[in-house]
Formats: sequence, structure tokens, C-alpha cells
Amino acid sequence: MTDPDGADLAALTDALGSPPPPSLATLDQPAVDDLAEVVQAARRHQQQEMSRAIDDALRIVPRPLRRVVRKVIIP
Amino acid sequence: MSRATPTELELLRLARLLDVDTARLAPLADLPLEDLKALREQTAGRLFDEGEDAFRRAAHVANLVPAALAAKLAEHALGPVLSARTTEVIAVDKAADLSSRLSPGFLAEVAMQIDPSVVDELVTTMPPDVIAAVGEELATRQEWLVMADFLGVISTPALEATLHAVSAEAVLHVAQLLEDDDRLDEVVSLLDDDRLAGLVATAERTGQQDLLAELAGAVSADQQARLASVGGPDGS
Repeated sequence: MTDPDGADLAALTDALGSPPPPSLATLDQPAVDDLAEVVQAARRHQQQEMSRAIDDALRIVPRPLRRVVRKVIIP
Repeated sequence: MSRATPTELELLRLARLLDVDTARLAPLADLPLEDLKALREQTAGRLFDEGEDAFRRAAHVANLVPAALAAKLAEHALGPVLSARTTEVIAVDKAADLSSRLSPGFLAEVAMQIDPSVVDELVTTMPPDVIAAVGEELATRQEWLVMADFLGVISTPALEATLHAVSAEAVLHVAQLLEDDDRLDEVVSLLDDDRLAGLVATAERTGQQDLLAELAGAVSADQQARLASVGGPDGS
């Protein structure tokens, strides 16, 4: 059931990094929480993909270029 | 089957961005369309901002190494999701050069991860035959929304080449998801009478006469007359 004051958007705001459109507060709380969870999952997945990509890239780059590429891609 | 509503299209795009089934986003279906768009853009922005430094580093590597190696790194290390986001920070001429070195299958996977409106300059720069090959690949994978979104922004020669490369059934699927009626009109205008007749026959064979009638109602009088002349609905 929708809260008369509207759903709490704190978790979704945290996942998105900024407040979502206010109409999201008209959704049921579980729907808002689930949306926050899928956004967080997408962020986690991207982080994992980036780590994997760095490892894979360094394996593919020929040895003479590896040092300079490592310098560029690893902060 | 009828034309997708703007809300349905937005939910499909958001589901693709978040890599979830559209059914999981069903509770959002009653939100205002502009809020759904804002939510999708906000989500895409969040993902892009968080990885921007890494995407810029990947783009720097692409500029540093020979193009053939950059293409290999994109396809075998970065993968489609990170390549799609890196495309947003790479110089258009470099990205166009790289695209001609990548397989249509990989480009199709990149296309599935990218917002074509963000890379419209690149998309209009890519050779029509490359776009058509990607379109063919997307049709094979039945990625109709991705195709429709790209068909909305590609050049007319690329649109023509893509329409030649795919089946009448694929054209029907994509037309169902095209948001812009002017582009839909152009799609119909680029099909010669034989292909238009094929489209009508396919719609009848697959029970999509209602969709065809809806499409006919959205195109210009000239194209309505052509559709009617090959046995299709006249748009009335």
C-alpha cells in the first residue's frame, strides 16, 4: 500500500546519486526499493566489468606496449 | 499486435539499461512519460559518471595503440557495455575508423548498450554498409527496439541499405516501435512496390493487419496511396 506521505526515496536517491522525479514517491515502497536494488546491481556489475576489462586488456596488449598501457588504464 | 506506446518504449529502454526483464519495471508503467525518460537519463548518467574516468582512459589507450589493436581490445577486453560507454568520450573520426574494424556481431552488441541519440554524430558518420550489416545482425537477434532506435537517427542512405538487408517481417517489427511518424513515412517511401507488397503479404500471413492499418494511418497520403495500390490498407 502506498504511504500517504509517499514512498521513501532515500535508497533510490542514493543509488542514482541525486533525487529521482518526485512522482516515484507515488509508487509502493517495495517497488521503489526494488528499483533502487536494480540500479545498485547495474552499478556493481559495471564496476566488476571494468576490473575484468583492465585484466583482459593487459593480457591482450603486446609486451612492449604493456607498460605504457598499464600506466594509462590503471589510475 | 499494435504500435508500442511511448511509455512501453521507455520501459523497454530502461529495462535494457538495467539489464532486467521489463516485467520487473511494470510498477513504473503509470508514471508520467517525462518522468520515465528523466529516470532513464538519470540512471544512464549515473552509470556513465561513475565510469567516466575509466572510459576516458580506455579512449586514451585507443588513441595510443594502432587501430587494429584498439579494435581487438574493444572486442576482446572491454566488451560491449564498456565499449558503448567509451564511445561517448572518443573522437568521432576515431570511433568511425574503429567501427569499420569491428565485427557486425560485436557492433550489434555495442548498439544494444548505447543510446543512439548520444552518439548521433558517429552514427551518421558510419558507412551505410556497416550500419546495414549491424542492422542485419540485430534483426537476426530480434532486437527490434534497438533497431528502431537506430533507424530513428541514421542517415537516409544507411536507412535504405538497412531496409534492403532485412526481411519484410523485420521491417514490420521495427515499424511497430518507430516513434517518429516522419521516419516511418521515409521507411515506407524507401521500400519499392515489390517490397511494399511483400510487407502487406507478410502482415496478412502473420495476422498483423491491424498493425499495418495503424501504420498506414500514420504515414503521408502519398505513402497511403502506395500501400493501397499493393493491396494494403489506405490509412482511412
